[in-house]
Amino acid sequence: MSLYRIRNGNQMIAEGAIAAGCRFFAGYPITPASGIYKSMIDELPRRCDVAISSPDEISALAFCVGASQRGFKAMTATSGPGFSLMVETLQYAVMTETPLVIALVQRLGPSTGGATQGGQGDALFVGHSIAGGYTIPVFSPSTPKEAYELTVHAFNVSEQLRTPVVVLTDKEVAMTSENIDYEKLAVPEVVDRRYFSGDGQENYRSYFFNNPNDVPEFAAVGGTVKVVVTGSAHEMSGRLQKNSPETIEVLRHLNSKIASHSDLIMRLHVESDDEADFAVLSYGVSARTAGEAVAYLKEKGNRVTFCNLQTLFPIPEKEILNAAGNARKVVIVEENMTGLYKSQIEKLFPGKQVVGVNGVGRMITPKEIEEAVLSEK
Amino acid sequence: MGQIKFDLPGEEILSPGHFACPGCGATLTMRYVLKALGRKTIVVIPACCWSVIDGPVPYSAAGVPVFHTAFESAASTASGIKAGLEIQGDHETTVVAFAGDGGTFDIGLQALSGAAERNEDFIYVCYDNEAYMNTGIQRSSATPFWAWTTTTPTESPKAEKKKNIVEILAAHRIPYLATASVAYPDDMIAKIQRAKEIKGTRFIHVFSPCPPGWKFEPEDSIKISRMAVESRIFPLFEVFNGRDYKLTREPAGTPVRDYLKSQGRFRHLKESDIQQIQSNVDEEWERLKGKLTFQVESRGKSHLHGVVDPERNPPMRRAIRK
Repeated sequence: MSLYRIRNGNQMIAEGAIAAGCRFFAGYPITPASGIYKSMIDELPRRCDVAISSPDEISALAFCVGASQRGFKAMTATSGPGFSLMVETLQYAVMTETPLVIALVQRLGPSTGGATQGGQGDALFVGHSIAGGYTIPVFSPSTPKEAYELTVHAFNVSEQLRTPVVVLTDKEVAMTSENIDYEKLAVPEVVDRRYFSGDGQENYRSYFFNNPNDVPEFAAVGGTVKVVVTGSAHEMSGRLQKNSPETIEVLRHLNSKIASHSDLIMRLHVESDDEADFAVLSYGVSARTAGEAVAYLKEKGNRVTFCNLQTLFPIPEKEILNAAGNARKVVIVEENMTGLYKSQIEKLFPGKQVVGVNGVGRMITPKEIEEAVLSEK
Repeated sequence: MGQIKFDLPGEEILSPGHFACPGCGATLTMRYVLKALGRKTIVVIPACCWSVIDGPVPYSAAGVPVFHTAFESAASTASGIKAGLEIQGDHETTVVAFAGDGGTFDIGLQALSGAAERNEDFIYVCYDNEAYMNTGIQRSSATPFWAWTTTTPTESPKAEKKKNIVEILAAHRIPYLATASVAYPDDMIAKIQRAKEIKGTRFIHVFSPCPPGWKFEPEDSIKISRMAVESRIFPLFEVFNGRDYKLTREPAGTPVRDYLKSQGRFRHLKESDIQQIQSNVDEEWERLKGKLTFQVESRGKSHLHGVVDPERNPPMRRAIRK
């Protein structure tokens, strides 16, 4: 059985969000992410859920924080310039352990950049956008199908770890329509956040954990117990303390709850070959051409491992090493100037040849990748 | 209808070959603004249709320096450029922030409010096409009540009234603000020339029709703009110091129906919707008229001509009517 529909990445992110239980969306127009905004405006009100037009991106994310703190799964969508405005509230969401999802559709940067020109230049900006060096999970779909699946996964991760999560896509994936077989969608089971299970104010602390790796139980603001939501450094009760031992413990927990749940977070598409000479690593739209290049190379008798990095942050070091560790040459393909993600993972391959295939303001062709793999230089 | 002749400044500073759609109100607005201000002008443009219309570097249709800035910061950037000119001893160049309704009513409002409160010395022109047209017709807070946009589909058209930006700016007590329409170029140019003679923050709210966004034929832009004025949907007036209101054209008071029927974005309206819009327009008009009457009764006729401190603000040069 097949059920085909023509969909682009933006539409699939919207559908994935709804499938994951998203009931609140706030949007602000920005190419190439406006399609998500439009889809959510069309769909959520029909379900008696809420889609709001916000007056700017700062408000859009703040809307989501408010909705999420009332217990609703919330999402917004934007591109580079809008994400720049969201960063303060994103950090607030990290500090307040607010589950939410941002769909970031990359365009050519910096600044206004090329509104209708694709790019993959935001990975490090997003991965390192939290002051103090905290990590937020970042997923990168390379097809509309993956956009759907990873958006559901992103919601699951955000709910379970009480963290903002970014679905980092790009203009080509977001705005190119293709035939999708809905029967083949590998949709993860939807998971919701863990609610405060005890009762009584005396038993509740907004950010309580036994082990720093644990995620505090959620209670909706304005509910049966008093919840403290604050972006200031705080103890488990929410009491403002800039550097008490308990405050530092809470800060440490913000990092360790992510780091210790890598099994829950990690998603990669790997076509591995134990005898591989080469490993080709890529993400987003470039993973499409990289996949094609790998297929050509294999046809010609080369031994190649292909890895589509659907998870960019936290960096899937173990998974990358498992997949590509035995290759003698590693090729990393991404549509930016200097090989941004390459700079993050080349240290995993000491003594090996690590090569970047990059392009700016254009998509990378399979031929370029093929040549880079086979080149002796 | 009698023919009115008037002289406009002859020099065309905006050149052809720009990227606007046919019938674009924003482009006519730029043409008149530049005619009125002359070449000693710097234009500051945030993200909006005009960030595309001007053309790709190195080509520029505007004929004056154009400074493209971030969406939320037209008023702040204009303040900075003006400060730079002042420091260099250039007190003549006019700085104009030229922004759409999204960059003015929504994301740029904070910067604009700050500039107006400090009475920064520039002219802010908002070309209001009543939605985010450049990104694909999404509603803004300037979108009128019950209008269709892609984010206010006909099954749930915009349920909120248009934000009254003029009243917001009037509450800042800026020395001069005016509404203008591309259907009345003499009026618009006179207002911009008057604004040029005044120091401080000056705000011009321009009704700027958008054929693809409002769904009408490009040749109807002027007709539709005129209908908006005559039906009192968009009255033409000036406000001095946020206090003295002066009507610059007495509207005929034609029913709003004709205006609404002229555009696809209102095609879904039922008769009762039209009635409601009519009563909203009537109410706003009464409110505005109340302000005008107040001037006449309490201050005497002279204040109808408006004014600002003559020392600071020399009288405007009128367009010559023959």
